[in-house]
Amino acid sequence: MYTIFLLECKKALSNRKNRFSLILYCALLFVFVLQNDATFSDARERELEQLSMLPVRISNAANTRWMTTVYNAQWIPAPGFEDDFNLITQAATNSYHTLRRMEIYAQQMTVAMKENDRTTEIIFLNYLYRAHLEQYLFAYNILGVPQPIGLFYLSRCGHNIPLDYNARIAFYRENQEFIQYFVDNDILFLYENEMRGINFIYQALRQLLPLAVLFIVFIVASDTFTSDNQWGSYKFLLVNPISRKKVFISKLIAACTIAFALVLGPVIVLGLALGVMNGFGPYNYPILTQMGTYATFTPLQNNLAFDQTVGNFLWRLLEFTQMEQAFASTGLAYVPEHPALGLTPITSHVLFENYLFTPNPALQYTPMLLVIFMALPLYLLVILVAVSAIALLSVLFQHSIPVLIIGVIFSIGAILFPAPVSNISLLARLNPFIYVNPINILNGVGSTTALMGVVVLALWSVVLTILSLFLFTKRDIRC
Amino acid sequence: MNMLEIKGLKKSFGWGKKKITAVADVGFTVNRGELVGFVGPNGSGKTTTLKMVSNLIWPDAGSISIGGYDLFRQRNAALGCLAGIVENPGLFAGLTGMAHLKFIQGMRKVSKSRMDECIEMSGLGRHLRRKASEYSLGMKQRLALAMCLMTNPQLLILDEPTNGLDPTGTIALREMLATMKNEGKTSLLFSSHMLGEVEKLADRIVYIRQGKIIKEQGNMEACSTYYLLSTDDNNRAMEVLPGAELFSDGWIKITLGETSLDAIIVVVKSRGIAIHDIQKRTYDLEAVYEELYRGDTPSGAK
Repeated sequence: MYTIFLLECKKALSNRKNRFSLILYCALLFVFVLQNDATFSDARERELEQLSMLPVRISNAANTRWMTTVYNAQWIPAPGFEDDFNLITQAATNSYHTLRRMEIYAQQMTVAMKENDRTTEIIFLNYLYRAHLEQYLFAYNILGVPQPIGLFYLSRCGHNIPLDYNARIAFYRENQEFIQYFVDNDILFLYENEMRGINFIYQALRQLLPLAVLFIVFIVASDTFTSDNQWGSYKFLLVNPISRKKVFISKLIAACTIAFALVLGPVIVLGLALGVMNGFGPYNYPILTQMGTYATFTPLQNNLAFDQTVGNFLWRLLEFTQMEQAFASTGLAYVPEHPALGLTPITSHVLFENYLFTPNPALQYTPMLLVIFMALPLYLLVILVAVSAIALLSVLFQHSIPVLIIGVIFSIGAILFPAPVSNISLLARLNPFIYVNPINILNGVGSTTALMGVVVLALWSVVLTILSLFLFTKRDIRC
Repeated sequence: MNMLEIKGLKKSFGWGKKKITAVADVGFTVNRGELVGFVGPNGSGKTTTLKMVSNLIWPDAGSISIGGYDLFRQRNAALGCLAGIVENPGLFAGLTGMAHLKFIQGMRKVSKSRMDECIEMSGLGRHLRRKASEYSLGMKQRLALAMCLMTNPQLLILDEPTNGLDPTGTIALREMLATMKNEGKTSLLFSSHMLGEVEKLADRIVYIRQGKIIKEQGNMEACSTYYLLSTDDNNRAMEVLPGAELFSDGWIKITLGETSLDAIIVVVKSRGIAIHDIQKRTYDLEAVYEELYRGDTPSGAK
């Protein structure tokens, strides 16, 4: 069996189709690196631009006339609006101080970004997130949501009524917790498209490998199982004192090994090269993985890439500065033309610490390197299923062209119909295509788990292998 | 013990109206150390039979035993005694000649000295570094033969082995087969359309037509002398001459055996039968072949 395994490996490596596929795949990886590198540079520039404007915007929000007027308690509420007025005053005061702090955080963050001091960046991003959360918590605790005034306050911040603010608070809290994790563990925050060694490997596995696996595996496997028919070399292979079963299994193992090496080899080599050039990045970069059998809410996409969190955050902040309009609609009058006030200490952030938050037990942070290692067995199973499917087709048709055509159709199908993200039935979870991207499964995308993936893929590979083996041992060989 | 024993072999392809019977009923043996020629027109079932012996295709019925081992129950043991080239030599296109030889060496645990011997015999030399896809047909045949002989098989199957070989290669192959025959260690079953080669080498010849064995005879029998007699009463002449058979219109055939020609003439004349003509003929394989397959179309069908 070992002799046949070596023979198949030699054949595969000398095959022009395989070499061409490998070159094409390496070219794709290079393009992937270059594109991401360019996107990363653009993203940093855009964020710096936005961040540069943020302190000014925050300052403007803090200096709106009605806010300064309220802060100075210059407002005269109409009769019957006194209680509401007190609440609004408290809200405005709290907001004002929070905004002032946020102005400083934004300034510091901008400075850190300009100096490319990622550690300091993340610290001030964390502060910004906390301050943002405070607004919500304030509404929740002080304004007595879902009391009308609280709802009104938050509605002016761009939230829907009726509110899903519990889920929203939990969502932002998890964002903040995630950022806090980086600060507490002194981990460098990475962009999704930042081409450092380990991050590149992770992103390539997540974005490119499912496609690469299907194409490369189909080419390699179809050649392994049909080339002997085309060249007539089965006449030498099978006229030897070795059972057809062993011949088939040797070919299957060889095809899986070659496919695995061809698919992963370039990724690892390029990852190492990038690691030497750009640094490997933190091996313990936290990846949010779902280890439980269910999810209580939609998991975070993209593991909070920096540009997306800031984007969300900024959007909320900008909406928040519409307080003037909100206030005008309360029917309260105010006195114009008061000077801006300076920063005053505030302890509203105490609310943040007092908020009772129950973390989602299904959430776990797993080091990126460990996620990569956890995904590898799943990739191997995906390859095994693809190889055994091709083996079955090869034994049926005994010619490479129909096998390749069907393989390409399957690959296109897998790309066009990716894993569903909403709940799916148990029967639908038996579809092996939904496990083609193990990294996404580990990240919790798609309502299924890695364990289910292992079971389903293992089942499919066993069934397909047994069928192929049976046919191979019983059929006449066409050569 | 027979080296190869085939009984009641049958094989059909296709279904329903498109079903073709390639082998209807084939059975013969190859003794130890014997060289058997397997002869028949195109489409007669030779290659199908050889493929079944090599276990490339499964028979619909019948049994095959090689070296005393049942091919279907003791497959590995049976194939351990066998080496062969069926149809054109199928080689691994992307591998070099040397890689092929090393594969067989690893597969069959062949010693290096034996491999070197076969490399020498193949005459391929530096060509072994080239890929098999770049070889001419003759070079492929040589490589394939070397791969077969490396294993010192007890039974060697060759399907038209001189196909593609130049005269030098054909002579070399003939000499090699003759040497093997003289050594008596390897039994050979080979099919060929080069009747001259079969005539020179085979101990016995098996004739096949339309998937059935029609005749088996020793080669010496094939190359014997006989006489044709033309008389004025052939029927009566056949009655008085034992072993005489009608050859064609106007002629009867006699094989002499221990009787002399003079004695036969005396017997015929003593019965008052006049002899018009006597012709001496020698059997050759081509004549036998022509006789047996007279009227067949090139595909082997009547």
